[in-house]
Amino acid sequence: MKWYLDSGNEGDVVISSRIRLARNIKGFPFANLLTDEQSKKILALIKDAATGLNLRYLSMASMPEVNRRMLVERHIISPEMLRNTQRRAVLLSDDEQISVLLGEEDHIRIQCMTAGLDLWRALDLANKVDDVLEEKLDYGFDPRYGYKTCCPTNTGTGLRASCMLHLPALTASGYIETLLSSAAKLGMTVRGLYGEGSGAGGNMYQISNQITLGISESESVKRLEDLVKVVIEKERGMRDTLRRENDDKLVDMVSRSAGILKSACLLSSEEAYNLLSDVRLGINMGIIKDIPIEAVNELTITTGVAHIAELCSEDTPSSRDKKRAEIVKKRLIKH
Amino acid sequence: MLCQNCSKKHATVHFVKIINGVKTEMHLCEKCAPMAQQEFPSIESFDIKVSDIINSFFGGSIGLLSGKCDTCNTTFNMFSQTGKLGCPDCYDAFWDKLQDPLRRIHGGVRHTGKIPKRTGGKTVGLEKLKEDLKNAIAREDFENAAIIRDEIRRLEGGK
Repeated sequence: MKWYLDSGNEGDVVISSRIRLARNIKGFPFANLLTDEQSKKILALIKDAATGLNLRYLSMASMPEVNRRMLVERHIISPEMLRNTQRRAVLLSDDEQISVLLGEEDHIRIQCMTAGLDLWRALDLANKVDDVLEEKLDYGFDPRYGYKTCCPTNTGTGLRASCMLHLPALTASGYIETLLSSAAKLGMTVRGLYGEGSGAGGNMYQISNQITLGISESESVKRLEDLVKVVIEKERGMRDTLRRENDDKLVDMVSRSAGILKSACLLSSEEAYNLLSDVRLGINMGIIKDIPIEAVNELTITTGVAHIAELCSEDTPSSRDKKRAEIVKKRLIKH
Repeated sequence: MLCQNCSKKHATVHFVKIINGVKTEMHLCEKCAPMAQQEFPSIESFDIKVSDIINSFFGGSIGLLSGKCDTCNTTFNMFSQTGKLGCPDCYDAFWDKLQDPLRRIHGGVRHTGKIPKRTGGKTVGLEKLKEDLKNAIAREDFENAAIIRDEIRRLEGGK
């Protein structure tokens, strides 16, 4: 089963946790200066070092464009991986929990995802992958400044820990702005759903650490986890307030959204995404009882533009909107 | 929905801007979307870039800073423009100039995390640390000096 169908710890607010480790191989320039020859050599070296990890090797260039975009929608690869595909590949586990991005800004980016708030398990998994790769690869490393990365913002541990949070109540009440500025003061960044360069849609936010030098891996994870726990409490508190002060309006909103999803004949990706956010809130607050959260988790991914385009014979916005509505209806009425 | 700019193609790019509670929306086709980028900057454009930090640190004198990595030929000037280093050896080539910007970005300038087993799990030798300490004091970099001093004590205590 794919990891993202599950709901994990604190799943009413935290959708997923992710750990990313950046690594580079000694004796080669960073990815932006690699020659084609060196690039091939590096991919082969890493592929060989990963034998035994039971990961599939997917070369970006040999994959149809729509499939690459599907990987972005499933958070397996970064949008950056869509460029320069000749030099890029990904190593992927069957449950898609582990992905190793090759040839992005750094030679190696190990990513481990878990459902809900589970940063420690993700860190443990990432460390295991790192240990196996390191048995055969000589990393660019210096005891003073740690793992050498292309951008000095990642040097040190090379670790980026992040959590994806669903914050509809904090967004609706406007408190999200205060939260965003306080997170920045604590050395954390808040971004929209697909990482760099995208706005927040469907009330989804990604909070991640910024600092990687002079701080250990576990300290980074602990600091992020502490902040996320505070945000969870704030979001839950605000949901209670909404319920107390505006119950009829709230029940009406989430029920209407569920109704539209079950009966619409045309759904744009943005509309589906926002309605699914309402339904997720409704399920987590016990208002909607006839839709399982797994269906919402699944549809949040499978209604993405690339996922729908792959199913359409003709790739136009209107045929996608029609197909999307069909898929949603089928999934919500089927269960 | 048709593109609000050309009214010819289907609007596939949607911009929403909320400033002090005032919401502005714009729906454009892919062709017209780039023109709205200025009006609706993405979250990314608010990020502070590494190159900004380096440039603000060295100010107008940045062009005068020499330094080249012999392994990949990246110059410090090139790095200050892109914020990206060329290869692992650049860290050694530019180390003296990188310390202050690194402290601005991270707060610390010394790795305290995982160490690859292949390097024998070894940390920096005492001799090197003592030299670093001397240099830090000479630079009046007391914050970093204190970190190095603690590391020396830890290593000596562990003997």
